[in-house]
Amino acid sequence: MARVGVFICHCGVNIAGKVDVAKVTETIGKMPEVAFATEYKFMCSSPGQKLASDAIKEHALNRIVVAACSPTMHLPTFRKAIARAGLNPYLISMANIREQCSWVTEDKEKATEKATDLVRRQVRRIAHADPLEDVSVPVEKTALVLGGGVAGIQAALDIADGGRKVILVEKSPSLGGKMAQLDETFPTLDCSQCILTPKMVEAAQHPNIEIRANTTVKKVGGYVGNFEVTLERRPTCVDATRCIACGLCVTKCPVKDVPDEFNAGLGTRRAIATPFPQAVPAIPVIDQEYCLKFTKNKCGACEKICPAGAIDYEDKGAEETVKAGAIVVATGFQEMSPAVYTEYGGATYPDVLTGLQFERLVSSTGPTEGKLVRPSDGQEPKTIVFVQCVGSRDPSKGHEYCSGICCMYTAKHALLYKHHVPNGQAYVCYIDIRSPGKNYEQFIRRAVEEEDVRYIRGRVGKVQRRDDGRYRVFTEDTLVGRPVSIDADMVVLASAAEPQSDAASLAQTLGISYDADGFYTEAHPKLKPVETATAGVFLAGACQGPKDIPASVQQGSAAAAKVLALFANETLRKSPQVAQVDSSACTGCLTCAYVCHYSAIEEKQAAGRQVAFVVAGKCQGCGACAAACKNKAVTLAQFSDDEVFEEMMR
Amino acid sequence: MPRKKLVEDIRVSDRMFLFQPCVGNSRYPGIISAAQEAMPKLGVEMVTSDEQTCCGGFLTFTNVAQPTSTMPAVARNLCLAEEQGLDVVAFCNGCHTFLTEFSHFMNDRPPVKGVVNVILSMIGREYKGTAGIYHIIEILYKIKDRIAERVVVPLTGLRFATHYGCHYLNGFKKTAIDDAFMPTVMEEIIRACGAEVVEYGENRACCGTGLTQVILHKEELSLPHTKRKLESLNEAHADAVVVQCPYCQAQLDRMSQKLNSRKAGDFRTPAIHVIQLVGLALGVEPAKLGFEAHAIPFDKLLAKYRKLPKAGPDKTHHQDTKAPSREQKADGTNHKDTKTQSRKQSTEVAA
Amino acid sequence: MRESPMDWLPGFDKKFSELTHGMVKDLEKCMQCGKCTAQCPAAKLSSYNPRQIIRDLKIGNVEKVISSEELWLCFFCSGCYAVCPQDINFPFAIAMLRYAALAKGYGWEEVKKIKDPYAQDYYNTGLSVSPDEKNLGIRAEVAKNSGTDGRIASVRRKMGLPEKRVVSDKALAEIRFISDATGMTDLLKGMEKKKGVPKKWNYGSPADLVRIKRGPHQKFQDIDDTRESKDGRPKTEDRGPKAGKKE
Repeated sequence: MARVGVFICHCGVNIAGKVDVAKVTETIGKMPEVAFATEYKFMCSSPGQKLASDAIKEHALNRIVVAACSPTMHLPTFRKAIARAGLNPYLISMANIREQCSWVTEDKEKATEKATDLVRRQVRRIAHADPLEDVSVPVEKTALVLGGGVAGIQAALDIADGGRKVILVEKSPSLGGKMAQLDETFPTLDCSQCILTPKMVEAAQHPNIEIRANTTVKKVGGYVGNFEVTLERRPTCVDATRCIACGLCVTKCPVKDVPDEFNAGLGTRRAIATPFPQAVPAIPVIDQEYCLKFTKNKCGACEKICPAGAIDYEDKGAEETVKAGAIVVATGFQEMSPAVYTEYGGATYPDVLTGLQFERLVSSTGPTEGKLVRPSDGQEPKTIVFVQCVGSRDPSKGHEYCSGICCMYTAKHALLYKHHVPNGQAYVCYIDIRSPGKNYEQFIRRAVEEEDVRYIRGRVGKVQRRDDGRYRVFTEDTLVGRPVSIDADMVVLASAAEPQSDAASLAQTLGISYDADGFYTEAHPKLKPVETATAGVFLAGACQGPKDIPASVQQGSAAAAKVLALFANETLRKSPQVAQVDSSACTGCLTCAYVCHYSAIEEKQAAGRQVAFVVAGKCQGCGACAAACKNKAVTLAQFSDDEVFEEMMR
Repeated sequence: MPRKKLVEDIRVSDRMFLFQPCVGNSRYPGIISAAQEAMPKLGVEMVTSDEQTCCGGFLTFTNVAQPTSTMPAVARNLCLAEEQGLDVVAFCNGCHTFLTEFSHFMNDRPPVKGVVNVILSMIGREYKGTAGIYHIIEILYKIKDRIAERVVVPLTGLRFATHYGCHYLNGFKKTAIDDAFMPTVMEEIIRACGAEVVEYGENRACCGTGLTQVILHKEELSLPHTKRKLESLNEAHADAVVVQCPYCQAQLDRMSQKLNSRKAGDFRTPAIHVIQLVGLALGVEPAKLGFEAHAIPFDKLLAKYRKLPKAGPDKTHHQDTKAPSREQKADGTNHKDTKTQSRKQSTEVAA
Repeated sequence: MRESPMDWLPGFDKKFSELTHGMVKDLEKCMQCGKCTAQCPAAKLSSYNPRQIIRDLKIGNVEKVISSEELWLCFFCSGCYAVCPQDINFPFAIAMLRYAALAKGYGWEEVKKIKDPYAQDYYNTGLSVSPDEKNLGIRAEVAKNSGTDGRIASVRRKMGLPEKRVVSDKALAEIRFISDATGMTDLLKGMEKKKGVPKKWNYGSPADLVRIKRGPHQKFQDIDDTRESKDGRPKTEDRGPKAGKKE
């Protein structure tokens, strides 16, 4: 026998301003199911909640309806409140008489009428509800970190230091990401690799971290606490267990003109190579597209010279399935190709470079060992122009957003240029300068005031290649209002930071969402920057949006904190609002399994025949199976026929 | 780089309406006669009509006539092609811009089209909006392989500079068949004719006509601007500069003469319309191509041309129309920069 | 289709979009980056500055734009549109603003110069450009190259074409009808009487214009982007008042 308690909230004037709450309470109080009905100004407050839990004890209430705001606001609050009074927390329903009534209805009489109707329906519904017990799922206390850049490394180290196991997956041969490609970092002008490589080594040597280089994610199944991930290692043809990283194979390789990805397309490497000297792991990889053994079945020099017998041309790669309780996505960004900027000669003129290419040019591990010279003729550039906002803030041909890091790294490049070519002249053509971080503004001023870098406010319109091999840059000094042309030896385009080319397909594999620009979407833009809408999958670093190194590190640690919090539970409590199959009615057609998006339905044997079976831990409570079942053998908790009928039809 | 999808959409029919440009007829009649001689050799018959008048673009963009008057005139001209079921080919950047912009305007706004048709109904016509409007460069690019196959006099050793002009590539920045800053379609057509392309710095600079400028501000804007362009063109040492618009042709040709007469420079590069060039390659008699109407003479070019052998049956002249020319210096040395090539490749690969 | 100018208020940029039937939308999106002016051929040679004009339009200072000399210096090359990151169709805006200027009386002296012969030729012959070559220098060159008297008519005759392209009487009747019916005929007739209101150099001065002098005996003012500086500092052009000289 249902004894429903109804609590109607004023929510200040949000509800009471339109709805005659007293009248609604009076009308509802007359319903036969209702044992107790009252109104209150703010139900979600402490006294409000106490009012509810006291009433439960006093009036022996066994079902509750709270008429107030949206359940997404406070249903968890009220569930806890009635649980404190000893009632099963799933025997409560909320009638939304704010967002769906008082906030959208002009006429007070109509609003009151609608509110009464909404509450009435919830009362009838809840009268037919059954108590439910939470489902517990175990938690696999291993974290999978995707991406070995600085955000991924930080997350891995923090989780590992927290005593949990980490599998760190990186698609290239070495950890380091974009930060390893940098020469110096702003605003301190620290040597980037000098501050990064200790962390890389720490990650490699940490007892709780396993590194999987040359590996990508092929398939992800499961759910929070219980992910099953298939990893795929591409064939590297070098046995990591035998290789001693002596480097002899690289010196002997006759193929020397492979385009070098680490050097952003400047310079070349061998067909067997490590990306840079401080690579971690330092195991070289054979590039089958260029290796003579694979293209022409010749050579084999590396195998002959290798003292450890580590070369294995038969390597076909490997697949591995791992279990993880949480996944941290730290896959980073890529630099946009400026090929579409034909007005700048992007990706066409030899001395028009991108930011990353300039970075490699000045790096001592770069294609010229740090000598800042023009790729076309090896001459030192006496005049250099830095073009900002190439591909950013450009809805026409590029991205609408601001990449956030280029103002700072351009000032850094200008300073590096002045350090390499003290008599040279650097110009920066900008629209706005964005320097929000700590000491960032001072860094820009240093470039302007101490190193005589000329800042011209105006976006470059055209870069013309002259017959003498120099470049004429056309811009406008908008602060003065005159067009300006500058004859330069080298032009550096601050190319936009955009999502990786495989970001969308990885998102689909992981089941997370991404926005119109392709960056992964966080659960809440202000309050949940490192969580996704998918439980157990967290974000860190530039894959969520362009950001600098401090922000990436912050997010890495934040994601790690979330993972450690998740792993602090022995088991995870999951909502019991799941589907269930009545095997006596089930014919075993498995239509429900077919429509289930979450792969939560399996088959089992019952009474000598095949029937469907819902894995409660995976079920998300969407109800597709219940709708699809022709025999009505599947029911969704809290959506039984009686409950739905009572709410909708009477 | 040409936009493949847009090139695919070009329809070349075996009969097309030749939209006669005013500057063509009254200054460079060679353009029209070249079209009438050359296009049939490529399997396209050019249909003209003595009812076709000026497109009206010049009058509109100089503000001397209003769109309320010139839009019905455009519709009327397009009717002439529609009534015969033909698509229109324009030989002038201005004609093409004006016809296309106004036809889109009318087709996107049925009330406007309705009003225009009320006026046209009074002269017994109706504009339906079915005729396609193409620029000759689009047609020639689409059939460039046909040009290469049917070349009679391969223009081997002749060097041409390009001048696309402004309205086609800039005005249609997203719908033109090529990119506004580094186009290659004209280069590919030139190579299909067997000739070489030379670069010069001011390649994509406007010719300087600017519709109004050549009348109103000739001395202080048009002339200095064109002079800079011609100086850069001189560095290319080209046999001619290929244009796709008679206004550009007039500006480059006549301003060269004007500057020469003032001893402001020595500009001798003749301007040849792309259809005249294709005419030469297809073996049309130079007399029919109207070079005599030009101020800067074609003597040197034609002298070289007359020495060229006709194509043999094995067509050995056929050059790779996609040969990259960006790495070529203007003095003709081929500076093949492997670094550029590899950088181009690698910026595609994720860093 | 032609709108008359309205009161110039803030919010003009949004109104402008309606006035131009959506052909020039997004004036409010201009971020004043300067790419347009950077490559503008007219900006290099005068005080014309498309970015500044949009700035004035955005803040509603429209009178300044339409009463300016600079409005009439645009080349119509559409280079600004080609580079604009917000795809603002600025040349179309110039065309519409010129109509607005005419409605207020500015610019008739300019437009009158184009009426004869071009508009008149269109009405009379169906072609806006007549084959009569007035420039004797050109005629002399063409005469040399063609072995005729240098008139295009003669060259055409030599090529076997009629001396000038003849548009059919029916066509002429039709275009004249359209011209009469849409008010173009009256406009052309009345243009003679139009007295223009003098325009002002609102963005610069006539001294900013670069000119090539006439005659073989005077020194020429060449356009030179690359002034060599003494201390080997980079060559930078600044379009200052030094570059222009009055005729």
